Amino acid sequence: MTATLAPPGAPPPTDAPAHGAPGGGARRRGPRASAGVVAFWCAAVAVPLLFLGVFFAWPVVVMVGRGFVVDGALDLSGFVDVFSRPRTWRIVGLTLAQASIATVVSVGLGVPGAYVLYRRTFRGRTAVRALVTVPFVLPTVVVGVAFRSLLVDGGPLGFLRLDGTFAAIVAALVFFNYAVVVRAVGGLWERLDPRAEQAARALGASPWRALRTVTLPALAPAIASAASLVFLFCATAFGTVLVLGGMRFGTIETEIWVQTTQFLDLRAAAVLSVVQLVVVAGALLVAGRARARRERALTLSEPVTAVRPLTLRRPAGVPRGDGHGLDLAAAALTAVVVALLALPLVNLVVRSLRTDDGWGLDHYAALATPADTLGVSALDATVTSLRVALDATVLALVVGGLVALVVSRRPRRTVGRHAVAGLDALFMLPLGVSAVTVGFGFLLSMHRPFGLDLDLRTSAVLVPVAQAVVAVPLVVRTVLPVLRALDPRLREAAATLGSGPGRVLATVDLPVAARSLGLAVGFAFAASLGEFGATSFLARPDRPTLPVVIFRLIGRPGEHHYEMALAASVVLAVLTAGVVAACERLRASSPGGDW
Amino acid sequence: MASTSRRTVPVLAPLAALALVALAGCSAVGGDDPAPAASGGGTVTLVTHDSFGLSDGLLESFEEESGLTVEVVQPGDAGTLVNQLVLTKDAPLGDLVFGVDNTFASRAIAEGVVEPYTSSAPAAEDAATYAVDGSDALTAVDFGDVCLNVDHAWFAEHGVAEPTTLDDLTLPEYKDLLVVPSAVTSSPGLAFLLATVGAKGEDGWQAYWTALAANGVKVAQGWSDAYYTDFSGGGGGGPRPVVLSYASSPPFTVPEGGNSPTTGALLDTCFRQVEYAGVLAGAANPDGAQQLLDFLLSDDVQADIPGSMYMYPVSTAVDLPEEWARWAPLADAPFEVTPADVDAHREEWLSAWSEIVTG
Amino acid sequence: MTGLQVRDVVVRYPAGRRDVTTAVDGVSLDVAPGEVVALLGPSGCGKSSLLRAVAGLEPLAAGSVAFDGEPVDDVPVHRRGFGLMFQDGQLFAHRDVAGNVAYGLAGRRTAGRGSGQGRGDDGRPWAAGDRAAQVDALLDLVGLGGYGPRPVATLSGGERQRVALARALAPRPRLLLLDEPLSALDRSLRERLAVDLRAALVATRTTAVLVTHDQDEAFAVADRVAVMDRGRLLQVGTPADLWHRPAGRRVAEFLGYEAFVPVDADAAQPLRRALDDRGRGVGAGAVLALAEGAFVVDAARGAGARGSVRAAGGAVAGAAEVAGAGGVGAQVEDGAVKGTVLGVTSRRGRSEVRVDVDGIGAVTALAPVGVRLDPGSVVALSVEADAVAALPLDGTA
Repeated sequence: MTATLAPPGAPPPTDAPAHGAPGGGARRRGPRASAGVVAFWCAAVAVPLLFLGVFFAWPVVVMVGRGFVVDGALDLSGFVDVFSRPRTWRIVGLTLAQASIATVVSVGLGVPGAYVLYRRTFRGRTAVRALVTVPFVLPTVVVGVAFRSLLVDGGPLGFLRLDGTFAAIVAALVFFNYAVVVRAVGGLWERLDPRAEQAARALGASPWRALRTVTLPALAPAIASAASLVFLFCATAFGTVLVLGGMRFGTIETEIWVQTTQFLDLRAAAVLSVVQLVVVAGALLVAGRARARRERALTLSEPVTAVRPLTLRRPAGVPRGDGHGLDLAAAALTAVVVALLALPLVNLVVRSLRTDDGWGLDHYAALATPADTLGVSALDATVTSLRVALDATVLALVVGGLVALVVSRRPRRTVGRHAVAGLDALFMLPLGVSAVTVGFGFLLSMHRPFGLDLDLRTSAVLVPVAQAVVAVPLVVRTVLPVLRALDPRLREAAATLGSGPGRVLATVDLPVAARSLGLAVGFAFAASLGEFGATSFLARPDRPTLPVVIFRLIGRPGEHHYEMALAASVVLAVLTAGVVAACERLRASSPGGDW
Repeated sequence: MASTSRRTVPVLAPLAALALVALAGCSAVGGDDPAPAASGGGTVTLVTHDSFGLSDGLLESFEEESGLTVEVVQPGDAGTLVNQLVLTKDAPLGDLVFGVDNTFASRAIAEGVVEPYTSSAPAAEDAATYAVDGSDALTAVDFGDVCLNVDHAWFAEHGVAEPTTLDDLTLPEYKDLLVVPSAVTSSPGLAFLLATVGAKGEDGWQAYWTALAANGVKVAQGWSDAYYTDFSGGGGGGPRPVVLSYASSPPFTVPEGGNSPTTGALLDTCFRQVEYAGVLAGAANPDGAQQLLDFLLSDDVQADIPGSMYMYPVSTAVDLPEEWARWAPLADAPFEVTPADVDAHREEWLSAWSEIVTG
Repeated sequence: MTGLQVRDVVVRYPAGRRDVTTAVDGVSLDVAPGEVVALLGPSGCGKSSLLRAVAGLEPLAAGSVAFDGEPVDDVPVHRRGFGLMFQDGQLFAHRDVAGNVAYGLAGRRTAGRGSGQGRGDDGRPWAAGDRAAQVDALLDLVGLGGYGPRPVATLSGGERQRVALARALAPRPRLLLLDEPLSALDRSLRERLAVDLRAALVATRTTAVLVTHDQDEAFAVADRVAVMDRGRLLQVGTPADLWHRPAGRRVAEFLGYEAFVPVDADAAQPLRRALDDRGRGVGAGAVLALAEGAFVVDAARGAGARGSVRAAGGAVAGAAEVAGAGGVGAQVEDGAVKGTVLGVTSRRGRSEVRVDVDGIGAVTALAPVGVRLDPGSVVALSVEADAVAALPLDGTA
C-alpha cells in the first residue's frame, strides 16, 4: 500500500494563502498606497472618532470629571468611600448576575430561534420575525406595565408568584433582548453554507454533533457579538430593573441614577461610572477575544439554497434520526418563546382596547387630537419620532458603516490589529455607559462646545445625535460579521482584475455589506424609535417623540391617559414591526451574486 | 465585475433614497422650526419637567400680548430638574424654571439657581402663603395633596372597614393591602415618606415603616405602576385596594353614567406638594422670565391648572372644576416637613427607608 | 447483491409556492464494490441531486437506494457509511488540517451496518493505530505529510481538496461520493489531481461515485461513466465504450462531439473511409459525430501553411493534394477534405484550427506545432478516426 501522491507543487500566486501567518508579514512592504486611498481611510477612521469623541466621550469625561475634581484638585477619595459601602459590592454583584444570567438565557433561547426564523420557512415567518423585534423598542415603562400586570397577584400569570423577583427581571431582560440574538445570529446562519454541516454528517456526525462541532463554531462570531450586545443592554438596564424589582435588585445603572438625579452625589456617581466602565470593558474584552478566535472567512451561500420549509411531520423520504427531531425541538421551543413574548404585547393591546362601555378604538381616536396637557397629539409625536429616527439612522449608518469597514480589515502590523480591535470596542461603549451620565454630560459639555457660539443643549439636533450614538454599535455589530466573513481573496481577486481600492470597495465590500445593511437599518431605526434613556435626560425643546409622549401620558393622573398611553405604545409597536418587516423585505429582494 | 456593480444598484438605490429623503426635509433637524418672533420682545425659555402642560392657545395668547416667543425645554422629570439646574447654573438652560417642588426648593435656593423676584400678579398674595421661609426666590404656582386612596368597591365587597389613618395600615386586617411608589424613584413616593416623617417625627418614622413592611406594604417603582397595576381601583384590576396617589385622583374614577367616584382619598394621610417657579440666575432674558412668571399666576393659567396639570391653583380667585370641588377636597391639616429639613436629610432618610423596605 | 444499487430514484424540489421541479427522474444505477463511476452531465442535469439523494441529503420522492442489498432509505446520513466530498472542500475553518482529517475518526461508532466488518486488516495505512497516526498516514496518502498543525486558511485550493479527500477517506466509507471534487481548481492542477485522485481511490479500493461536468475528468478518474441529462440517465459505460459508441446525439454532444453529419452525405465519405480502414464499418442511415480533432491539418500540403512540420501522430487517412496556394474551391483528389480557416488558437504548443468544412460546418482541427495559418486560407485535412463516432439510428438520447 504505497499510493503516495505527488506532493503538490508550489501554489500559483493567485492561490496563495489568504492571510499570512501571524506576524509573518509584518515586514512585508507593499506598493505605496495612493494619496486618495490614504485620505479615504484616514477619513473613515477620523469621522467616526470625531463623532464619538464629541458626542460621547467628551460629555462622559466632563461629567465623570466633575465627580473627581474638587476645587480644582483631583480627589480620588470617592473610591475608598464608595467601595467601603457594602451596598456597592452588592450592587456590582447583582449587576453582573443579572446581566450574565439574562445573556445566557437570551443566547440559549435565541440561537434555536434564529434557526427556526432564518433557516426554515413557514407561513407567517415575516410576521413572527417582526413580532419578536417589537419588545426591543418598546419603552421600558410600557413593558414594565405590560409585564407587571401579567405577573401581579391575580394577573394571568400571577400564579407563578414572580412579581418583584429576580426571575421576573431576568425574564424581562430576555424579553427585550431575544430579538438581538435572533437577528444577529439569524443573519449569519441564513447565509451559512449548509454543506459544511452536510460534510460533517457524511463523516458520521449525528445531527446534534454536526450542529455542535461545525455549525455553532461557525456561528460563534455572531453569537459572541450578540452576547456582548445583550450583556451591555442588560448591565445598563434601568427602567426594567426598577419597575420589576423595585429597589431590591439595584444595578450600577440604577445606583448612578439615584446618586446623580436624587442626591446629586457626583463623586459617588463618578466612581460608579468608572466601575460600570470597567465591567463593560471587561465584558467587551472577553467577547472580543472569543470573536477573534472564531471569526474566520466563512463560506456563505444564498439563503435560497440553505433555507428549507419547516414541517411538523417528518417529510416523506427523510429517514428517522436525520435531524427532524432537532428541528421540532427548536420549533417547539421557539413557539413557546414567541407565545411568551406575545403575551405582554397582547395584554397591552387588550388593555388599550378596553373602554368604559366595553371595547373600542376610542383611545386610538384620542391619539389624533392634542391632549390638553401635552400641546401635541400622539400623532404629531409619531411624525416627530419618525423624522428623528430617520436622521439618527442615517447618522448611525454613515458612522457605523465606516467603523465596520475599518474594523473588518486585518492589518498586517500587530499595532494595526490592536488599533482595529480597540476601535471596535470603543464604539460599543455607548451601550455600556449610563444614559444618566451621558445625558447629564451633554448638559455640561454642549453649551458653547469647543468655544463655538452655539448652545447645543437645547437644540433639536442633539436628540437624533444622542440616538445615533446608541444605534451605531448596533449597525457595527450587524454589518461587521458579514464583512469579516468576506473572503479577503475576493478583494485581492478584484484588485488583480484591475480594480482600484475604491472600486474594490464599491464592487466587493459594498454589495456584501448592503445585504446586512437592510438588517442594520431596521435595527438602528427601531432602536432610535424606541430610544428613551438618553433622550429623556436631554434638555430637548418641546417637540416630544412618541416614547416621551407615552411616558408623559402614563405618568399623569387623568381620565384615560393611561389607556391612551397603551394605545400609543401599540402604535409604536406596530410602527416598529412595520419598519422591521419592510427592511426584511428590502433585504430579501436584494439580489444576490454568486460570491 | 460589471455584473457585480449592476447587482449593487437595486440594493443601494433604496439606501440612497433613504439618505436623500432624510436630508431633503423629512428630517427633524431641518423641519418646521417655529418661525422666529416677529416682534422685538425676543425669546424667553421656560425650563420645566415632563408633566408641564397648558391648554392649547394659552401660551400663544401670552406670546401675542407680550411680544415674546416662549420656548419650552423639558430636561426630565420633576426630581431630576433641580439637579440639572444646579449642574448648569454657570450657563443656565433657560430664563424661568417651573416645577421645583417643596422637597427640592431648599436646594435650589441654597445653590443659588434662582434669583429673588416678587411678582405683582393678582395671585401673588395667595402664592405668598406657600413661600419658602426666608427666601423670595421661588414663587408658588400650584399645589396638591399626596394622600392614600382607597377603593370603596373593594372594601364594600370584602366587608372590611376602610382604613382612615396611617396607623390603621399597620393593623392585621390591612395586611398586604397597601401599595406605594418608591420614595427613591418617584416624587409622590418621597412625599409619602415625608408625610410619615411629619406624622411620626424624625425619630419615629423608621419604626412606622418597619411595621408597614411587616404588614406587607408593596413598593412599586412609580406612581403609574402602583396605581394602574397594583391598585384594584385604578382600572388595571390589581390586587391591592389602598394606594398612594393624589387627593385629586378620585374624580377620575367616576364611572360612565355614575355619579360618585369608586375611590376616595384618606385626608388624614396627606403631604402637601407645592410647585414653584423662579427666575434663573444668569438668565439671558430676566425681564421675559418675570413676565412669564406673572403669566403663570394670571387667572387664565391658574384656572387652567387643575385640568391640565392636576394640581390646585394657588389663586383663591379662580373656580375649581365642579367635580374637584365635589370629590377632591384638600386635606385640612396635611403633614409637613420644612424644605430645609428635607434638603438636610434627604439622602439619609432615603437610604434608611431603602434598607427598611427592601430588607 | 453487493455495492450500490440505485432504483428508479426520483428527486423533486419545491419551486415557488405550488410548483415542484423534478431534478432526478427515475434513475437506476449500480456501482460494484471497488468501482468508480462518474456521473457526467451539464449543470442542472440532476447529477448532484442524485448524488445528494444517495448520500441521504435529499429525500427521495420515489425509488430506493440500497447498499450491499440493504435499503438505506431509512438510514440517516451519518449512519449510511457514505463519505462525501464537496467541490470546495468545505473544510471546517475552526479546526486545523489534522482536526479536519480526524473529524470522521471520532464518533463513527455505528458506521453503516457492518460496513466496517472485515475491513480492519485490508492493508489501509490508517486502519490501525491511534488517531494521530491514522491522520498522519492519511495526510501522507494525499501528499500532505506534515501539514497536520496548519490552519486550513493557509492552504491553497489544491491543498484544500487534498485535505478534503483525506478527511472523506478517514472513516473508511463503504462508498465515497465526490461532488465536483476538482472543478474549483485551475486546469493544470485539475488534470494532475485527477490522476492522484484515481490513484488514491484505486489504492484504497474505495467504491466511489463522482459527479462532474468535465468529460476529461470523468474519463480520467472513473471506471464507468454515466451520462445524465434533464434528470434522466442517458448512457452508462466505460470511457472507451462511451467515446466510440455514444448512445445518441445528446450524449455525443456532451462528450465533446461538435459536428454531426449523416453517413450518406457526400461530405461524410472521407470519414466513412477512415472508419472502414480501422475496421469500424458504419451501416447506412447512421449519423457520424465528429469530436475536436476529427480532422488534422495536413501541413505538408496545406494551402497557406508555412510550416514544414509533419502532422503529428495518429493514422492519417485520405491524404490528398491541395491544388495551388490560396486556391479557393480547388479540387482535392480522391475525395480528401479541405477546409477554410476561420481562426487559430494554441493549446500546449499545438494549434487548434477552427475550419469550415463544406457539408459539415465549423469544426476544430488539430495542426502541428509551429504551423501558422491565416484566416481565410484553405487547408487540406486528414481524418483522425478515433475522434469520429457513429451514432445508432435510434439514437435519440
